[in-house]
Amino acid sequence: MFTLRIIVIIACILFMVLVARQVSAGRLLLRYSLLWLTLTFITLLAAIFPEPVYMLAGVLGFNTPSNFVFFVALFFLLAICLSLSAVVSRQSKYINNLVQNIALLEKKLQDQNRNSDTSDQ
Amino acid sequence: MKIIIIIPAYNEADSIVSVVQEVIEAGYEYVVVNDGSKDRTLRICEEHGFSVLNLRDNLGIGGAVQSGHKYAREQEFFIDIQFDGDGQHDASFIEELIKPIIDGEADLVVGSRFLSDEGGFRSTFMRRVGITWLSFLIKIFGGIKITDPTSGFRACGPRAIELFCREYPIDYPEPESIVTAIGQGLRVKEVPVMMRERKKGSSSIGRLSSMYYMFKVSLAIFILGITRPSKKR
Repeated sequence: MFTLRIIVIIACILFMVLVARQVSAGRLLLRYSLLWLTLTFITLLAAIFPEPVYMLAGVLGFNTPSNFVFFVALFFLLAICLSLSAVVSRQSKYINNLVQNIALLEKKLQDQNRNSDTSDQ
Repeated sequence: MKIIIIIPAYNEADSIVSVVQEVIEAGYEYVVVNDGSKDRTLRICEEHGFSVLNLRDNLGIGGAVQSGHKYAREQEFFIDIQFDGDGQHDASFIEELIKPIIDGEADLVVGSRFLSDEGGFRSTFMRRVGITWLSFLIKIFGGIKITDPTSGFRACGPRAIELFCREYPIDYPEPESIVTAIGQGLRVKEVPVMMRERKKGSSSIGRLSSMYYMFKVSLAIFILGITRPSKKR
């Protein structure tokens, strides 16, 4: 159990460093990194102070604490995936509007040019 | 009364000229929406001096038609009509299509292949089965009988233009948008039209994706149907 906790702690720290570097390199927006950092921080806390996890697992009726951890992790990942889908959907909408607005602007410009051409003649 | 024909076109290089000429001969203003075509559609339109709204990327039929609605709103057209760029639709029916809107009886008018007995092209058997199913769904969730929900030959009055500028489904939009319109309290009406068999090009719905299409549209109508009462603004 002790070595497992050490491994988890090291993995968490490595993951945090990775996320921080992605943010500083501009590959990940800070607002999306917060989610991952928070999650890692909670995992780190659970690895350092495992007693509350054991207790919660027992109270909620899980056979082993690891099952409880897996369950919580899976749940969080699902939630994160859903939120990512929402982000993608929002961006599709933005792109849709952008492409349309560019087309409308170009059309307006063309029509203006055409009008000024005919009025010049 | 300002009226404009919206002609969505995706890779319609072979048919676009005859379609636009048909509309011009019928005496209407029009705009071609080039939906990021990969063929010579845009070039041909420019060579002929057609009025084109050019989408830089392919948005799909929904995004293309919606930009037509936005153009109609911006230019303060009173009615806009969706008229496919593949030569399926017949411009001589436009007058009947817009009549209910001019008479103040409807906000959205759908041209239906199935309302009259006069024949014309009526799609394949399997597609008709799908259409019957969608009709049934719209009847349940919208309470109105629409015989040809996938028809892309439609006329929109001011309220429908306003609504579709705000929200319009991205892919396979026709049946879903009918339910949206009903849900927002718009009056939807059908008039009989005849359609021609598509000369060139293929339907926006491929054979492989038709199952996905039916599922997606059914789901969309279902979700709209069950969330409608709370969504009314």
